[in-house]
Amino acid sequence: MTNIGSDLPRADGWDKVAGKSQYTVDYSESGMLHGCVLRSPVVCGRIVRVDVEAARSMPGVRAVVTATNVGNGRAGMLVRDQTLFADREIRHHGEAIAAVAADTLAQARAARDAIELEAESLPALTTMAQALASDAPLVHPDWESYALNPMAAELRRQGNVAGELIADPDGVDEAFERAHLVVEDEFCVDRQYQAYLEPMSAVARFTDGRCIVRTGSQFPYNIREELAAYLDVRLSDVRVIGQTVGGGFGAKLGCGTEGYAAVLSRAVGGRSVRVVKTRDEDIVTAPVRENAELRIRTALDAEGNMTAREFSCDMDCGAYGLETPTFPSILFHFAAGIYRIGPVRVHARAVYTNTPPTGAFRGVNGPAVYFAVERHMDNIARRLNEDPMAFRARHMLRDGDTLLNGQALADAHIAREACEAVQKSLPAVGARQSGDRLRGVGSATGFWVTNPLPGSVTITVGEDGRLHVLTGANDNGSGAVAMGLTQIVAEAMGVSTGEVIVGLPDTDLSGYDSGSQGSRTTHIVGKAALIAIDDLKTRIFDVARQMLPPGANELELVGGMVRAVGIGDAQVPLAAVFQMANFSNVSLSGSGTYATTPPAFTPGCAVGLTMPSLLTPTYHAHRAEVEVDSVTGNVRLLRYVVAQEVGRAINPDGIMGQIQGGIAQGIGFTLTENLRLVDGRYLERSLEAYRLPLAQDLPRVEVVLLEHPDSEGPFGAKGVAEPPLVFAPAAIANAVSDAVGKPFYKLPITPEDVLFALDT
Amino acid sequence: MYQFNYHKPTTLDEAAAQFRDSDDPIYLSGGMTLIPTMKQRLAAPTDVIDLQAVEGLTGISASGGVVSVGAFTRHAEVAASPDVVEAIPALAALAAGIGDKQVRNRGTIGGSIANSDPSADYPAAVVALGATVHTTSRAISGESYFHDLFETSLQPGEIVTRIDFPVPARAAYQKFPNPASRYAVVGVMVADFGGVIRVGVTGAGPCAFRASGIEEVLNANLTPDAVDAVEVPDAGFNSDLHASAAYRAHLVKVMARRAVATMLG
Repeated sequence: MTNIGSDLPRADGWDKVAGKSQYTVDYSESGMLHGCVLRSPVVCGRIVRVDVEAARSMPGVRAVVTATNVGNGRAGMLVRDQTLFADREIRHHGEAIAAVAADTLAQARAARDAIELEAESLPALTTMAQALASDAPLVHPDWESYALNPMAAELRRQGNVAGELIADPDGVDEAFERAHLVVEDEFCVDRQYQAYLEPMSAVARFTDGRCIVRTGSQFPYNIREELAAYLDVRLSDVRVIGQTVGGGFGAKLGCGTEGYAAVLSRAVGGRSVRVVKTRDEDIVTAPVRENAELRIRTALDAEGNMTAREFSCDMDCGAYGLETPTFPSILFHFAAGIYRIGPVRVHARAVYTNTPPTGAFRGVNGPAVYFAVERHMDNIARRLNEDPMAFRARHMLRDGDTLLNGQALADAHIAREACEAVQKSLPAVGARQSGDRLRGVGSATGFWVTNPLPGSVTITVGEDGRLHVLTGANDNGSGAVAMGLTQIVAEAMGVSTGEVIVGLPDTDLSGYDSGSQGSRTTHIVGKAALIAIDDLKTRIFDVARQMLPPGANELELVGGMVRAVGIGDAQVPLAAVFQMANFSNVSLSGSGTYATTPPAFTPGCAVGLTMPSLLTPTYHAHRAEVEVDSVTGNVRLLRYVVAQEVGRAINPDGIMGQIQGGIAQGIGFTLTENLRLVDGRYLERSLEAYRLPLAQDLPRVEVVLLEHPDSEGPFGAKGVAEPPLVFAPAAIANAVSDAVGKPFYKLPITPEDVLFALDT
Repeated sequence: MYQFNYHKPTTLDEAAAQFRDSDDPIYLSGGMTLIPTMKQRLAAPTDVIDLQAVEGLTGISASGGVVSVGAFTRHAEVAASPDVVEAIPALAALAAGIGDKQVRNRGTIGGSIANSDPSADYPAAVVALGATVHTTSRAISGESYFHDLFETSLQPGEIVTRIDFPVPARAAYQKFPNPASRYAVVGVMVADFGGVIRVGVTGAGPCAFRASGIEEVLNANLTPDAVDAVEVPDAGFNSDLHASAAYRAHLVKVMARRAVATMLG
């Protein structure tokens, strides 16, 4: 039992740090052409004319395609509202108009620049307020005709509202009427770019009439589904082969460049075409974290109990839905945080605007909703003159309490344990002021979930006894496959991790997988692997029994050997078992598929609820100490403490990496990063202009791992990847508010905001 | 990248001749600004004249109260030079805080001041220390060297060969770095030449300048608090996606105050 809970090195680690990993941009095929995309300079408008004749006759150009010659297949994660190219309507800055394939990239770009686009500019809805006005034009006049994917069956839509959730339980108004105190806050968060190192890229070709695409996608099976819709072909006529992923953080769940590479390849008769986004193009078109406005009111009785809450939120979808229409449902589940509150009324909307689309970013909607909920908790505590953590502890859910959807939270006490752990590591700040510097401490706590969607694994014993693992799961860089899945398989098969080879996903070969999203891979795919191993072990033991002395009934796998328990040292190597099986008509492979069984919930708890229950919850507490320079307004993190419940730590080092990375992204979202929209266009168009925190901005992150093994998870593991980012903004913003002595409601909190707060 | 002619002269005369004979030439020093600018198509010279093989442009020496730094000296070399650390530690510290390690290992002092980026660090030192900028044709006073955004006294074809920094009794540099690039949103160097105080500011305006108002109060009363009395109007200051003009004006005072405090120890 040495593979679980050990800091084993990841299989792909050396090549990654040595720059040897092959990303899609490093991958080429013989005769490969280079593609690029013409994008709209217009924010909202109507195409009058796209003249590609001059471009078509330029040197090296093999194909120029527009909406006119690729058909109008629509795709989308939830609502099929997107086409590859703008047909008549241009709905956002950067929307694709045409694509070019040429012998060289320079030729492709020159031809792209020679395409004449004549577009009539129309008044753009660049803010949610404009889009929600009663006389606003519709971003999608044909919204009712769009097909919905099965996951979107419950989605409630109307005009510019792409997704709406309403929960209106009894007793809210009465509680507010009786309230001793009402605390009301408004919050606002801005867009955050995923800023992965590898820009989106794909290589596509057509072979024997089928489309074959290589891409470093987080979700190859979704790429296949979207491509089939865009290309208007059968799902199985598309084959998606995974490449090493250079970071994704949610941005690489849907098609980015794959569709353009595919239609260009089809237009040139099947030759390979590679499309790679430039950084500028990647920023403008990435499905970034949504900007949102959140309003919370909480009613309190004379004892300081929260007797009811109203929570409303508008989030900006941009011009196409992607994942965002389902975020109102996510907000609903966390609207009460992890506290006992009376009835909670929730009204959340995802709103179409004429801005670049938003979508999934690690912890989808979580950082915004917990920022609002946990900042609000601090404000309530302050109004009641109570210590924020003591106030939280007094009202925290207890084991068996129910959530807003009626689902019981069996182990809520773990959150309390997490809060105690972070307070013990980082007690209250000592000196609050020294010279120009102000210090403050802030916390956040709550629960997060593990995405339950299905995954599958097939494990085969090779001729030399090594184990080949075939899965549709891709390692997006987190180590969920390179460490998590690999260590789980090694442990269950009684071998070292070096004996386990996990291939890249290939939709022709590997079984279905729901993608690297929602902290699911280690938990779901790890469990599927254990099911596969149950199957495989039976086969191995059946063959091995024929090779071991009579009476070898109970067998075990140890160190690559099948060993008979209790019969001296009778054992046989896996390689030999393979040889025997190969000539005994036995296939030495096992398969497993797993999805989490949803818990019971109250069906009528809300309208428009696309994700009715929360699965495999995990519990968290974050505590930050900041130093604010009262003269420049600059904020520096001094200490950061995380207590995270992980079920069971498969690789503590890997979890540490996830936590540090999540805190870094949380610091960025809270203090420095945002894509600012000015009249529908981003102000930040490069990594120099976009203010990512750097290594020297990060504090040493101190981590307490809490282990409460999950009964279903592989060796008890739950999802670990997203939560570090989910809770960081609330903790840091609370700390800054504490240090400055003024509440902050808007993210990011810039030095100028801090100075303004200090001056007023 | 796109097509251009690449030259690698070994003497200044050869470089000047190549410059003269090209349509739209540009000199390449460390390339920390020029190469990204070309990649973004903000510059498209026909000829790039790489000065790295030109002899006599590197090296640091100190004598007679002056530190001479060859134009092709990398930031990392200035930061680590025992001569600079001994004579003008504030200059060594400034160089050590430019960009990141990769930039400091490639970027050169001559390239930095020839480019005159409004957010570069070195210009604050050139102005505050009253440096002399030596070129292939003349010596230019540091004070009159910077003209405007990316504009200096340099004439087409003229090459900076070395910068002479007079050694102050003491000096200090403080900057408020851009979180992404470490460029100076505002940087201020304060130098004390035996009772005469000079203050150089970078990042705030279109190019580096002397803050005479701050110098005046510091000459009367050399304390951090003295800076508080100065009005720094934001007229003409840079206002961009990194900071407003008003915030930069505020930072000029804050960085000046901190530089004085650091200088006084």
